[in-house]
Amino acid sequence: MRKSRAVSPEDQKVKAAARGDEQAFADLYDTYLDNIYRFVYLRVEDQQTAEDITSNVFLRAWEKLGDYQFRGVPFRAWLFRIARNAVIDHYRTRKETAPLEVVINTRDEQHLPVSQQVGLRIEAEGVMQSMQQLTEDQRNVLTLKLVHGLNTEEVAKTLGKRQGAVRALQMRGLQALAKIIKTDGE
Amino acid sequence: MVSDMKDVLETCLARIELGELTPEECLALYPELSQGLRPLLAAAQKLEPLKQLAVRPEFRASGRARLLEHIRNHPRRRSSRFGPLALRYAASLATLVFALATAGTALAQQALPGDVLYSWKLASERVWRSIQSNRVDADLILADRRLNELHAIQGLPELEILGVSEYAHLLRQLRSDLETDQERVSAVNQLLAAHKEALSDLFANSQADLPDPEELFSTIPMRGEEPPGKDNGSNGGTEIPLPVDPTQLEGDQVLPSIEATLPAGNRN
Repeated sequence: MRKSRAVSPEDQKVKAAARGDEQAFADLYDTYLDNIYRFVYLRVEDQQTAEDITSNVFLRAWEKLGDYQFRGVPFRAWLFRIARNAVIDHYRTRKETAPLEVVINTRDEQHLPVSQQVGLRIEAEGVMQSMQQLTEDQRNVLTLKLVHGLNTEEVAKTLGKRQGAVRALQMRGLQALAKIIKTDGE
Repeated sequence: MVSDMKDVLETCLARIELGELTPEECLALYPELSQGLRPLLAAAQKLEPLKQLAVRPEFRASGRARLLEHIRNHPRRRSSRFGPLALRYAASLATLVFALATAGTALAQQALPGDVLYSWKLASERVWRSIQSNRVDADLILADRRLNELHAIQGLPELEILGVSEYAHLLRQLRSDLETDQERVSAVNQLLAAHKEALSDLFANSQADLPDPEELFSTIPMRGEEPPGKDNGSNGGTEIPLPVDPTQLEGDQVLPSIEATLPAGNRN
């Protein structure tokens, strides 16, 4: 009934980290830091808050890793699930909303001409503002699938939804985003 | 048509992501849907700049150093499956096991949905539940049993339907009990949130026509939906715990998440 799968190098690192191997966990941190930060930042839209939550996500992951079971939930989906819950907790305890001030650092910033950096930031700011008008579920699905590259199964496991529901949210989210972008462009 | 569009969109996005097709090439493959598909692919392309978001280099370095310092100072402990907090439940379970054994029904306790002895098991549980002082606690123990059964019969669609039906029955029972025990709402929510996660995984892989987990739990208040003024169950920022693989549990062991439901007064 249960599908067996080959143990990937990442699985080996996760198992080593679960046994308390600090270096293995640090490697996982290096691998997923940008992903988790990006996911959190797109939810809270504040650099300092995103950094604080991202740090907490990895601390929680370290504390909970002993309970992580290789039972069909990929490690990165598990990590995104922790991040999602951390964001939910953040909004539950912090009611005030900070004004949107996009402070964007990009991976290749130092290698890009200033004009391209500015263009990239303006584009990112525009799409983030548009995404604010989507539902939470739609934003989560679009972010996880189209920004982080998770497949539908992984997104379903991260969000606790069925794959059909994820596909439907993806379509409705893109329909809504297309409408928002069209309206804003007029 | 909507279903077609969903599937075609999924296919196009995946192939574009892999670099196999450009958006225009994908539209050409599905001319009958291209009018509706074009703005969706264009919207998806708008998200591209977000892939470049990254942490500040200073944060990358300082965050890593802080993390390593933290994990050196706090070596991770594998959480105890049976800590002192489970004492009350252990006692309760012992009572259950004793009562069932003396009634000659111990054999039935291993029964799964579809087994001849399963009805006997349910009947013996009803008797046990009827003599418990706290029905909500009893229901939580039984909910864990139902969940373990569902994992044990995973992959057998007909039995899954039966198992989910029993689980749903228990949720209705729990809802009824909570009406007279509002103090436990947030604690129950914590456990059910873990159950919901586990069932979502199970349902997602099932061949059976099972209800949506959202619908299944819609009769029970969940996180963020507690009555005004009640504790929302968040203990200062914990994520919903991943359920432990029930195949690693033995007999009637209780999932560790059940500890979180204990009233504060009963924690050591």
